[in-house]
Amino acid sequence: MMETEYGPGRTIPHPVMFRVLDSEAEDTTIPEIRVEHKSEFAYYPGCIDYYDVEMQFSHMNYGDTNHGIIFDSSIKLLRAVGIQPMILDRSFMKCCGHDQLWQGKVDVFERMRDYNTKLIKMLGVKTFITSCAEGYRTFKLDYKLDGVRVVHITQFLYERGLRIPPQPETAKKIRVAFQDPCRSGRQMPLDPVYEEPRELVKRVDNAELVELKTFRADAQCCGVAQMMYCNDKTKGLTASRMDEASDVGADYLLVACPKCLTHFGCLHHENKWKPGEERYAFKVMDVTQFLAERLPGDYPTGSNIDAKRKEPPLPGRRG
Amino acid sequence: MSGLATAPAVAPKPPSVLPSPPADPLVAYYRNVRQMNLALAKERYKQGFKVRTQEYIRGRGTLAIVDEEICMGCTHCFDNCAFEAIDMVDRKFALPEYTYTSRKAIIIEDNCVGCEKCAIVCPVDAITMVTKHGFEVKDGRVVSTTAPPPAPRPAAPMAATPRPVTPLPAARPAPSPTTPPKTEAPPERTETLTAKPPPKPEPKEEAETEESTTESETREEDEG
Repeated sequence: MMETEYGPGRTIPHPVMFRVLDSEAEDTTIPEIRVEHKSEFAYYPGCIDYYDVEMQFSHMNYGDTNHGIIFDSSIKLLRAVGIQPMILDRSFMKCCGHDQLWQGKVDVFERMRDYNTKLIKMLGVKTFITSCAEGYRTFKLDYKLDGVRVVHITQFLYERGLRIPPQPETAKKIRVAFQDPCRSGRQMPLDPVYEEPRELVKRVDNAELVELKTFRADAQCCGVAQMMYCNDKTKGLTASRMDEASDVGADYLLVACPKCLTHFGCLHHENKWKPGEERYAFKVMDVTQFLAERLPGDYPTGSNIDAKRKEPPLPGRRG
Repeated sequence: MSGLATAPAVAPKPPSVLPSPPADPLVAYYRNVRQMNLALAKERYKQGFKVRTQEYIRGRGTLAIVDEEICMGCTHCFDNCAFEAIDMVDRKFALPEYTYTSRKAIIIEDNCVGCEKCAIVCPVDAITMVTKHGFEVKDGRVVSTTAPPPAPRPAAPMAATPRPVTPLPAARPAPSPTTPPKTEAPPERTETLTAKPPPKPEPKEEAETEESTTESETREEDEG
């Protein structure tokens, strides 16, 4: 492991991201849509590609945090329960508008909402599956999708009875902690997602579910909701939450929200290069990735990681 | 059969990105969607980043400042500064029952030349460009507020010097007939030219300091 003086970066460039996402609302003409596999089950990946691009831009992703794998894992899991979902990808869909709404840009949000609602109705979606906690809340509460059922992917897998095959006997016992996202948990007045991810994790043979110091409705925040900003207070919250995970001796810290993954992964990555930081020895990953890795077979798609970014940059100036 | 037939047809396109063409056409479909989405995100992100390069003033007379409450220590500016004008420091913070350190960027003002590079790359807009003392922004340009900029100033003394010089030639003829005083004349000129403005303040300061010291001495003497 390489030791760097200042570490390889740690945060997310939100103003650039906000400009990119806001600019999506400017043009609301419907493009030509090609959906090869029409289905009443639609999967919406959300902004995970944008997070990946940003994390690589801001020097904090060298192959350990992968948002794109959420897409792959979700497809793999959905196919494991016998569904070939239609992909509502970002070439014709827009951002769900969660960040814009919670930052007070209501007009931007409403443009995105009207556009997305029109498309979802047009494509005849009956079940709208999302792997993002914020998207789940936004599509369920803030959109008015009458006749469309919005589910978080863990809910859908649970009710469809996902089976995890027995793990090989050589696999060692692991302790798994779960971080409850705010948006799909305590900020969801109806149908909060508490039980389903825990039940799914319990179906893995060698995994033992351990609860953090605060959990379910009392769960402490990952530090940053809606990427409002990353400052000293939020970084402290993230650090204290990760300390809870290391206190219970977790091998995996699972999240169900890409933004939790971003912030935990960021701090995890920052401390990984520091000598003598054994307290962050656990892995941080999305619950879908954890489950998909326990299924036989490979992911349907390749990795999202830039092959050039395997190591942190040299300390000091790069010129 | 149709699926198998289409898979090799699709295969020639992806190999540039992916090493092994998938056997399952559905996998190929999901893979293509995945890669296309990622390429789209990268393209959009580039455009969003381009906008930032138009946002800040730049040039001589400007200085970068860091808002420490916003700065999150990503070392982006540190990596990109070409003048070693940025350094990273660790600041300590305390939450209730929890302390931690956080990295902050600081500007070394002597080295900062006002290229806006750090402000452009700052992911959270913590760095802004301000004008130095004596400069202001007019019509999108940084101009000096001190009346004529430094360039004309040396010209003004040059214009002023000939005037005192002109009387000297008139004064010269008187000493010129005598050869020995020539050595004395140049010192006289220099005295007349330069002695008027600068030496006056110097003696004053000296006098003031002397006075103050003498006063204190006298006071001490009085007290003693």
